[in-house]
This record gives sequence, C-alpha cells and structure tokens, in this order.
Amino acid sequence: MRKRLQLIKEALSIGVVTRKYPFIPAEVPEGFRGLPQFDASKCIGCTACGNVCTPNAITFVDDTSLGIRRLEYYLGRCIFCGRCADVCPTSAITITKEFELASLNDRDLRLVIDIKLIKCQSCGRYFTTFRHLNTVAGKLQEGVVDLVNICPECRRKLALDSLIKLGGLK
Amino acid sequence: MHQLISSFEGLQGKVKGINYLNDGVVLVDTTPNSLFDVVNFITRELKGIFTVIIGVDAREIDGSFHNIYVFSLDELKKYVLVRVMLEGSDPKVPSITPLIKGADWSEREIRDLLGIKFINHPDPRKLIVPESWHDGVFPLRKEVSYKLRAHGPYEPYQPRRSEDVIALPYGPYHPLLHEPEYFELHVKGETVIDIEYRGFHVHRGIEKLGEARLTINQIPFVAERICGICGYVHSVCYCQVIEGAAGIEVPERALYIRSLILEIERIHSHLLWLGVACHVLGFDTGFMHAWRIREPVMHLAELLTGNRKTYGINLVGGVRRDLKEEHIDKVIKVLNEVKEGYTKFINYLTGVREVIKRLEGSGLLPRTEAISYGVVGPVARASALKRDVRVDHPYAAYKDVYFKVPVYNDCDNMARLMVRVEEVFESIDIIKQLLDKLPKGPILAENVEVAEYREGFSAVEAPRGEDVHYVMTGKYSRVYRWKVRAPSYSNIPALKVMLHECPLSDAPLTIASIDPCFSCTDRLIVVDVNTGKRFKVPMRALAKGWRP
Amino acid sequence: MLTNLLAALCVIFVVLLIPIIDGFERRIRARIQSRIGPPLKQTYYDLVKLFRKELLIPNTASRLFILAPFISISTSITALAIIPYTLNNSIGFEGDLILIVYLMIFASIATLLGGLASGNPFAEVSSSRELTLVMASELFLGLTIATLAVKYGSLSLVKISTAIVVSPSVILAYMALAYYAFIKSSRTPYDIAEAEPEIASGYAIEFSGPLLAITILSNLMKRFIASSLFTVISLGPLIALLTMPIANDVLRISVNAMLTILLSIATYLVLGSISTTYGRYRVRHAVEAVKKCSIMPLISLMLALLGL
Repeated sequence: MRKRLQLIKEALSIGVVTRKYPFIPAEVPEGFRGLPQFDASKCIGCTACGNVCTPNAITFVDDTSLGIRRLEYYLGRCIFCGRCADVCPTSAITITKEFELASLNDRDLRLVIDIKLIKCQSCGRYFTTFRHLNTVAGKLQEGVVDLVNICPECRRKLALDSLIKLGGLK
Repeated sequence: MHQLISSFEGLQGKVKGINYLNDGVVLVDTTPNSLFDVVNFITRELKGIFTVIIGVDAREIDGSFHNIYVFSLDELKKYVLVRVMLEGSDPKVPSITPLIKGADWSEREIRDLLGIKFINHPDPRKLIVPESWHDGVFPLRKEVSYKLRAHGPYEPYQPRRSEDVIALPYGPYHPLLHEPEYFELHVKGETVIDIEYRGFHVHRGIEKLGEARLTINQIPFVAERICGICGYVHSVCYCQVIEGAAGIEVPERALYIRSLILEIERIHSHLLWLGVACHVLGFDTGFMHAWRIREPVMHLAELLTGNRKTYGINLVGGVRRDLKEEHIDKVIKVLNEVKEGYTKFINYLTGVREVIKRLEGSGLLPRTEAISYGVVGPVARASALKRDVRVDHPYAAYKDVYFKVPVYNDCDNMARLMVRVEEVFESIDIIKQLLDKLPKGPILAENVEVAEYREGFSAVEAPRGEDVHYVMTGKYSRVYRWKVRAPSYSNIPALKVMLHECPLSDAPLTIASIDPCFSCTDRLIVVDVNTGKRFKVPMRALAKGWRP
Repeated sequence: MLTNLLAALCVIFVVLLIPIIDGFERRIRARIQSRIGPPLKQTYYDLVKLFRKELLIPNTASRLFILAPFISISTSITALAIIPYTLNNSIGFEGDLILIVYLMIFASIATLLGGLASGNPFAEVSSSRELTLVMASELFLGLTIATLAVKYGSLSLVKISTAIVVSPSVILAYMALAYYAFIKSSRTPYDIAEAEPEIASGYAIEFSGPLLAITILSNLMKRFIASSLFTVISLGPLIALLTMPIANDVLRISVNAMLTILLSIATYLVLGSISTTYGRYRVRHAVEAVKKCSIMPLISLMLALLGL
C-alpha cells in the first residue's frame, strides 16, 4: 500500500510531460531529416539522386520533343532517408528540418525541375544535359575536351576508326 | 574450427562437401536421402538448435532448387547450414517436421512460395499465401513478376479442431478486429487445450521486392521498415551479410556506432513492451509511466540518427552519420536519468501485487519444448536456455564489451518479464562501455565492390530474439535471393505449448509475453470444446476473467 | 414542506453535478499518469454526443434490453433521494436502510440484465461473471448494515446518520463501508465486467446512442451513491454535531447538505485516485478478496451482538 501512495506522490512531483504541440512550435534536433530542398540553379541533371532513391520518389524523364530532362520529385513516396543529398555532386539538395508537410492539394507535393538536353554533334541524338556536360568538361584536360560534345556511341566509333587508322588496317 | 569439420567424418558418404562460408558459418552439402542422418547428427551429437529453412530458386545458376537447413551450435559458436539440391523440374524432399517441431512453418512457407514438395509433412494447409491464391503460382520463383497478384474466388480458412466442434468461418477482415490476424483457442471448461493461428495477412513480399528492383545499397532502407519497433536490427543484419559475403572490412568506429544504436533500440523496445504488458493487465498507470520513461530514449535516437525510429544510417560498409563529441555527453546524461526513473518504476511494479500474482506460474514453456521449437530471445532465456547471439555468434562491437545474459529457470510469464527488465539495465551498461572505448577513424568503407553469386549469412540479437538473414548476391549490384527470418517467427508456434492447460484469463498475457510484433488487444475466437459454441471475445475481456 | 423541497433540490443538484465530478476524477487520474487529461466538462460532452447518436438495437435483443437502462437509472435516482444528505428526517422512514440496500442491488443488476438481454453471447458471459461479484459484495454490505442496525437500534438512515455511537464495532463497520464503496465503484481492480465508459465492452457492448448515455450515467451515479453512503453514515454524526449550534432550521439543513455532498465528492475522488495505482484482479481473485475482507463486517457484527 505504501508503494502505491509513493507512486502517486512521485507522479505528482514529475508533473505533466505532455508537450503542447501543435499549440507551440515543435522542436526537432539538429540533423533531423525532414523535407529535401532542391536548388534548381545548381542541379545539373546527372540523375545520381534518381539512381539512389529507394522508393523512386525522384524520377527522371527525358522529353525529346521539348529537349529537356525532367526531374520529378513526389513527396508522397519520399522516405526522408537523405541519400539524394549525400550523392548530389553539386549540393543542389539540402535536407531541411521541415516535417509538417500535409496538404489538401496533391500538386503541393510535387516538384519539377527541367534541364536542357544537348544534342550529339555527330549523330544528333540527345545524350546528356548542357550543365552536366559543362561540369565534366571543366575537369578534363586539353585535347580530350573536344570529344565531350559527342555521345558515347559515336565516341566509340571514332575511337575504333582512329585505332584502325593507327594500326594501318583497312 | 577443424574440430567441427572433423566431427562430420562420422558421416562419411552422407556428406558431399563441407566448407566455411565465413568465420562462424559452416556449409555442409548433402543429398535428400541422407538428410535425416545429418539432421539427427547435428541435433543429437552436436546439440544444434533448429533456426530456419531457406529455400532458393537457383535454377538460373545450376538448374536446381536449394534447401538450406540452418542450425545454431551455441556452445561451439557456429552456424551449420545444411544444403540440399533438388531437381528443378519436380523438387521433392522429405519433411523434417516429425523430428523438429520448429520446422513446420519454414517448410510450409517454402512450399507456398517456391513449390517444393515436402513428403510426409503433417499440415497441408497454406501458410503465407491466402487460401484463394491459385495453386500453381509460386511467388518466389524467378519467372513470377513481383507485381503479379494471383487471386481466385474467396475460400475460407479451415481451422483444425477436434471432432466435436462445429466449423464456422470467421474471416480476419472483420469490423471488430484491431489487426488482421486470427487466433482460435480451443477451450474445455476453463482451461485452454489448443490454439489455432492464422497470420500473414499483411505479408508484404519484401523478399521478392529486394530481388526484383532494389540495388544492394537501397535494401538497408527497406530492411529497416520490416518491423515497426526493431527495424534497425534488420538493417544491420543485412549489411553484415553483404559485408561477409563480399569480404568488406567495416571500420571499427562504424561497428561501435552500430552497436550503440542497437542497444538504444533494445532499451526502447523493452520499455514499450513493459507498458503494453501493464495495459493488458489493467494497470494503465504503469503503461503511461513506462512510456513516459521511454520518451527520452526516442529523443536520443532522433538526436543521434535523425529520426525516432527509421534511423537510416546504415550502408553496406559502415554507417553514414558520425557521432559528435557533444552528443556523447548528452547520451550519458539521458541514460542516467532513464536508469533512475526506470529503477523507481520497477520498484513500484513489484508493489502492485495483483499484477505480480497474475504473472507467476502462467504460460509455462518447458525447456525440452523450447529446444524443439527453436525459440529465441527472452522467451528462450526464460526457459533456462542460455541463447544470446551477442555472446554465441559475436558481431559488431560486442566482442569488446562485458555484459551479463540473464537466464531464468521458471519458464513462466514472470521469468520473461524479469529477463526483459534486466536486459534494459545491461543495455545501459553496454552503451556506457561502448562510449568509453569509442575508437576514432573513418565510418564507411571505401570502394565497396560486391562480387556475383556469393552467399552470406548473419544473425543479430533483436529485442525479441535472434534475427537471421541470408543473401545470395546477384548480377548488376542486385541480390539474387534475400531471406529474412524474424524472431517472432520462431516464437509464435511455441504458443501451442504455452497455452496448453492454461487458464483462460491468462491467455492474453501469455500471448503478449512472447512480445510478438502485433498489438495485443486482439480478438480471439474461443471454442468451447464441450458445447461446440464459438464466441468472439476481445482480449481485454479474457484478461478480466471471461468464461464461456 | 421546505425541508422536502431542499431534499429534492439535493437530488437534482447531485444528478446534474455527477458528470463534472467524473471529469475531475479523469483529470486526477491523468495527472497521476503524468498526462494532461480531458477537459473537466468532457463527460458532459460525451453524454450529449451520445444522445445525438443513432440507436441500434440488435435483432436478438428482447424488450428488457431497452428497459434495463431506464430501470437502472430510476432506481439510482430513488436511492439518491433516500440518502439523507440534509441529515433531516423528511423523506426517510423506519426501514429505509433495507430499502437502500435493495435499491443498490437492483441498480447493479438492472444494467447487467440489459447486457444479458442483448443477445450478444459475450455480453451474456461477462454479465454472469459480474453477478458473482455483485452477490459477494452485497453480502458484505448486508453484514455491515446489520451491525449498524444492532448498534443504533433502528433501521432508519437518518437516525444512523445523526446519532453518535462510538464503539469498536461501529468503527469497524465504518471501515467496511469505505471498502464497500471502493468495490462497488467498478473501477480497477474490480472493473471486471465494465471497463471505463469510453471502451464499452462487457455487458455494455450492444448499447448505443441514448441507451449508452443512460447506462454510463447510471454507472456514475452508482459510484457516487456508494461513496455517499459511506460519508453520510460515517461522517454524518460529526457533521450533525458541528451544525447543531445553528438555530435556523433551513440554514442548518442547507449547511448539512453542502457539507455531506462536499465530503462525498472528496471520498469519491480519493477512491478514484487510489484505484489508478491498481491493476485488474482476475475474477476468481476478486471474489476471493471480497470474501476474505468479509471478515471485517462479520467481526463487527459479532462485536455488536456482544454489546461492544
């Protein structure tokens, strides 16, 4: 019996532990993984985030009629793992602490980024985005940079041709 | 090491090949005809305890189906995997259920999902797939797409009961049920004599998903969502399997961080269970206070990993988030407060006599039955079986810490409660030791490369028991076969024994005491064997002493 | 005439007040559990909401199913009327002590009969279990009442609540009454058939809408009556003694009524707080516990018969 009364005394001394959220703002610690924020000016359309996204919340579609690569991010599928921010080479994605994301409108949950595609100088097919190409070109040395405007298949053909020329085969 | 291999020499001619998968796992190849001899040898001579049977559709590799029987040798600290290759066109193998009761579910699952026939299996009913599933479609076979749904017309579940009872179908999707599963208690007067269980209504096909469209580094995030309380365990186990199969060396600091988070998960899981057990017993104050004590642990997890439950910090080769210096002090401070509050709470709990009286002496599981069903975790440790994966097959950083494994001989509900209570104290101690010895260095292995068609096997001690994963890697950075066996899978069949001759009002508490991964305020069907009448009863009513 | 009016006012006042007392109890229970708890008027909101909901009567129910809650609440109100809050002999009569025991048993049984009449097999069985407990606890009450009758030499509630008799048997009888109030209130550990109204299970499972509201209200009244019985009988004499100096009759009985009602509320809340620290008994254990504690009124009866 004594222990029971002690329990009451203890509980009353601890008081109420209920947080008054949502009537006061929620506190989340640093490093909490909330909504990813996309900076369209930094995105180069390399599709690394789409590759790594487990639930396919980030998907890429190449629209050849408009000449753009479209990144579609759908919040409904996102699991907030933050892998997209990990692998983005230009840090275009940052993980914010927002988690109050409910909406009555499905359009609020979707985000679209369009990046221009570039045509291969040799065969004329779209093969990558302007920005990705520029980023890669910036890291290459002289002599190789000229090959950057040609798509991988044509480059292979070129390489084979030059090998044949070098080897003297007909 | 060689000692184990040499002990198999007694089975010359029956064993086709034997080699090491990695340090703690031995793979033995044998034929279906010699299976019984090998299994008997392992269970009797080597004192192995049955764990799970894994079925693999390996027709793309060598034209056969593989059945892998896993046994755990606790004293020798090894796992023995016995592999049998079955012909691809008509796979058949004798069933070992007559020898080992725990094999019942594994064999039925393989029969449902892969179509392998088990000769002499006592139970021909479906386990995983719904009754209305088409008979010839086996979901885990490679030719079946993961998007396929193969339903036929609705067919009711046929429970088995003794002759003097009338059959009435009560589906699992009933407006009164809290969660989709189905329990049937067969009752004589006031004592339960048998139980029928039909589960797997929320089978999500995660193994098939892992094979179909996920890459090796995406699977840890899916694995984390297998369980709603102990998901991190699955993530760690999977990463360990791949790291073992590919020979990746994980940095020490990552191992310590993984162990730390695992122990935090154990603490919050046991506190959750304690609250639920109090609620089932009508002691709501205990429920509220247990969860109040648990809340700082959840905050801690959020601080360290970024989320309260789905931590998402595991990758193959290590972890992706480091432990900061200022966090370490916070961890120790919070744990000290939790320990203080928790000690006081346990003190009060022992003063609530009616709760203690109901726990003692109910839901008995004798040691021999426990071995036969292969129970794991606190259920095993409360039945005088000293089984703990952290000690028997050490992984992560557990080799470097000292802790006690609580074992009780009472085999009742009270023992299971005491095991969990003590484990929380031990976990707090382990975390402090880990933080003390935390090494510096990288947290993720560089240049991870996983070769094709390598097998891996690993186990982790979840709060509910031993969690086991098996992976065969495949091409293009995917897995060929991923098998998960959660601890409750081994514990639920043992309910048949625990509820035998058990008074009816103790049944909900017994079911809650194995800590299954579903809510324990479920509806049960009580069948009075004498009159044949069936009653739908909420667990709460049973706990209050309902009688038919 | 005025005294009768005051007595009637007491009853109306109590009936209207009971939901907010329950609100206080829920708040206290929540604070003991370290949470905020519902607003104080929550029970009013619940009852009003239930009155507006659809009434569904199962096919297997008999007419008793609809009548039972009404029978229960009318007997409860009658019992409330008989308890002499004013400590004044207005509605009471010689023998109303027996009447109140009868009314309390009837009130408990009426709701259980409603459960039995619903045709839901599982309401049937929980009702039958609760009846066992009711039988055991009413025996308890019977012994206590017998002690008081012997010591006070009267079967009138007013006489027992105003005359002061101090002796071991009477003290024991008062303690037994306190324990009876605890058992009767159907809170943990004795909430065997009836959980809190918001998780209606047990006999109350088939009641819906207005019937459920009436059932809940009559359960709450039953709790209050049990606490009142204890307060009026045990503390009544003291209160009567305290207010004797007040010359004006009307003023005196009004003050009596206020004090008794306040103390009843206090008892109710204290018992409620104690019950939060208990888990639930198994039926077998509950009945055994009650039987064991029946020693107390038994001893007090024997002492009373011996003249102590």
